[in-house]
Amino acid sequence: MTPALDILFVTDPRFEGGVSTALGVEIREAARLGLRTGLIIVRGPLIRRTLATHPDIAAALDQGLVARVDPQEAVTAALVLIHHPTILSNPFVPRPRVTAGRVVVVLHHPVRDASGRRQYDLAAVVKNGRMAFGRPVELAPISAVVRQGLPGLAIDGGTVLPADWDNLLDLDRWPRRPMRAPEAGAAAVVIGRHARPDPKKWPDSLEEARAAYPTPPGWRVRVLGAGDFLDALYPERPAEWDLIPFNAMPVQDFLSGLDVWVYFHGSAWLEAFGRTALEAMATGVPVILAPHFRPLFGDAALYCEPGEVEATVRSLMETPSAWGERSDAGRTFVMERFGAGRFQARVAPLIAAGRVIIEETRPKGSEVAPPSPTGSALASAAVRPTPAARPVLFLSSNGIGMGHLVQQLAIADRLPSTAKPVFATMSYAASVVREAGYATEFLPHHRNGGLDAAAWNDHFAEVLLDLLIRLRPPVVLYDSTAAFSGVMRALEVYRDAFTVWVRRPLWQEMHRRFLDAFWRFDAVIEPGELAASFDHGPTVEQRRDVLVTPPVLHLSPADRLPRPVARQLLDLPEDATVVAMQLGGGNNFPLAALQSVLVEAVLERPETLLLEIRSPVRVGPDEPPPTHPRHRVIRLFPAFRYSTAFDAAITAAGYNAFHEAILGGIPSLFVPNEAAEMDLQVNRALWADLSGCGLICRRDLHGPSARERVARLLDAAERARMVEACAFHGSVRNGADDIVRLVTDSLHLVRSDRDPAIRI
Amino acid sequence: MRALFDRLLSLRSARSSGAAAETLPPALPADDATAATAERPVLLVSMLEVQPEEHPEILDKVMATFGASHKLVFLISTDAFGPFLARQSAIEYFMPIDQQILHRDLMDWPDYLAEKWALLLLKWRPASVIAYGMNVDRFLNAARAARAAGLP
Repeated sequence: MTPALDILFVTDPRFEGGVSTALGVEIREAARLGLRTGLIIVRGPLIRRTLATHPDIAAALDQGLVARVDPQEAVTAALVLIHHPTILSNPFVPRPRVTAGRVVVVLHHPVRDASGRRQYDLAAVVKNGRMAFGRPVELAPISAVVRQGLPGLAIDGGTVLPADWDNLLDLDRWPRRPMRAPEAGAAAVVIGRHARPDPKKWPDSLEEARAAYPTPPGWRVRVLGAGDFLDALYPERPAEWDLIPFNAMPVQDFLSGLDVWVYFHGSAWLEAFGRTALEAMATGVPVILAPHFRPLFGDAALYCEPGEVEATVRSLMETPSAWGERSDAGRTFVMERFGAGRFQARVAPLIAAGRVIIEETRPKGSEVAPPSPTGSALASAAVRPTPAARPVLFLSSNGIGMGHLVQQLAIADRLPSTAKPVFATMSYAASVVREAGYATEFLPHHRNGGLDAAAWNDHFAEVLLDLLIRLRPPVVLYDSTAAFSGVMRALEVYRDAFTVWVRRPLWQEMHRRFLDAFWRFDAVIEPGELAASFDHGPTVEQRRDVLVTPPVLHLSPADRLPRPVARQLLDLPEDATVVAMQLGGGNNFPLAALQSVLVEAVLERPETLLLEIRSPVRVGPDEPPPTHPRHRVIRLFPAFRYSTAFDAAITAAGYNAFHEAILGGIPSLFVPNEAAEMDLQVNRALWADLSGCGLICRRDLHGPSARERVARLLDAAERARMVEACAFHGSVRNGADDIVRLVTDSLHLVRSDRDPAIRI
Repeated sequence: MRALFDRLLSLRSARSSGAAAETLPPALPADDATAATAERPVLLVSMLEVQPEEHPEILDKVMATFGASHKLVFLISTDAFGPFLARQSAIEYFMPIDQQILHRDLMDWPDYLAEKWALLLLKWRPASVIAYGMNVDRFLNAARAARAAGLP
């Protein structure tokens, strides 16, 4: 039986501003009404940066308010509601298996901007909408501004709905700020503005901006939606402007601290709606706008030119009762015109008409689940069987190391049951993921066979492509610094995967050549780096376009064993000072001489026990066992699970070990692997040393002082200070969860970010 | 598959002609070393489904016999790479049959490995192939039989 939806929402959930916020309101309201709704996630062409799903839409999915719909799953939908026209700039791939009643495209943006430049091809939108859903497309402009730019005649069979599809607000989510004391006057005023970080949304000149956002003594301007672009736009902006990055705080909290909200934008911009102004009104903050907004907001706002803002604000603050009246007017306006309750009246006739169309066109004998009666409990997730798990390919480099593989394990272990991780790795630690229960293919790095790199790349491309076309993963995660041409070619010929490059920061300059691979992946993720301020490498210039997550850990600190249990399992005496040692890197950065010194320095203290943790990857001949009774050797993975048993550590400064040590509060002496092809571990170790979280010991510079450094590590007071410094960086979030979210949202993706036609 | 290779070959041509699709270098400079033994004929030694405890003895025997005259490449079906890495041997890997069965719902592993074998022969162009335990054909047949038996 084909599942039947009342509304199928279709959107690119990466839209940062009003599109996603408005959709979030519609989803919540539909859930409140008991409608069965689904969501198809589209990757549209407008956003090239790697962005996470908007938090409002992510929350709606997580709370089960709307069901994720796989485009290859057959459903019927009385109403298909497509949010934002640009996602129909190209045909949908794959074509959704949706039997649609009515198909409405919500036009969140004018067809042309203020300078007349076309923002999207309306005819293509109509054509591609029909191609995807097999029904005539109806256009729903969100305001008179957008409607004004539409052609008067039908476009390729597309018609325009008679009423505007106003953005709606759920007043319950916008608590009113306290009334301003009438006697407060204009001595101290906070002016606010909130907009996406886009230079076009700011006045053209600094002079105009200063006028629109004045700062006489006692006044401040607070901006939510600041960014680096402001440095270029207004290099000498006033010190009284407090700049807050977009989405850095809840909008409600931001608005509650304002006295007045002011918005002016550049001459080339045409604001389709102005949702942020409505949010200010909903909170009871008086709003001052440019006069051209009057058709949208009528008497609910005040209007003036930029040069008149200061006088307008003074009048508002100094005239008894004026502030309260404007506050009331704004909130009442939102309630009456834009309340979420209007959604039902808007969609009910469309859904009813859509159901009739589906019924009339339904082939005889086909079965459709009955639609939900209005007011029934929401059961979006329950109306459909769980879709079959789809493979996600984790592809990684590494030879002797296992850092990339362990980072991928952090993601794979957290994926939902709708995804089935499969590994293809160059790491000799492949057994680690195989033992974790995952299908694991090993593809040797060209170093292994001593093969010419070009020939190896050709071979690798062929094998990987064969794996891809058999496995058919919708998502491929590639974890490596080197973007091998063999990998890139296979992914580009396959085409059907959403490709994600997970690359750690702290590149050496010699890796710059791989920077251009950024453009060949669909998404680029940088796991958070505690030592980011010490990163001056090539990737820094791309940082604003990648998704930077919190640090990614295989195990979160809270997942570790309690100390007594860990000590018992490792057979460690309670009274010993246990120092874990895990240096790794023996092959490309020999450390034997330094290691001997460090081992001696630890063991010369009678209370110590040295636990040398060897990698599960044995690449060399067996080493003889240690002779000292307090020196033990153990193979342990994941060692971090047992790390509560350690009093201190002497460790390499690779990404995983470093972040586990700091976030796990383990006092550590970091010995960076400074081989040419590695990431700049030395900067991690340096950062730890200078921030008090640990100590550094460089092989070639600190050998003579190594004993002294170990002595500091073994000093209880020093260790306590390190633990305290580490605690400052403690994070409740594991970045692996952010990557899982992106992978999960990409598993059932429709793509319209490129023309699907093959070019030869 | 042939059409697929043709497509890839055209990509190779694009690379050699300096086309934009291949602006990335193939590897890091440190990775660019060509095998010092490139001129020696390649002996491909399959050790599929051989018990790991037997690996060191076989390795030592093969290396003593052919190490000086051949470049040795070992095809194994275990991820216990230690003995091979300790001897700095080149390795190629086939997923063991029990793992293929365990993950049979993902794809047809025997078919994939048959293709991989063809590609490995192109990669190494071995002068000879010798087998300890199952040879490749027997391994693939056993994998196909196990797959057929395991399918519902």
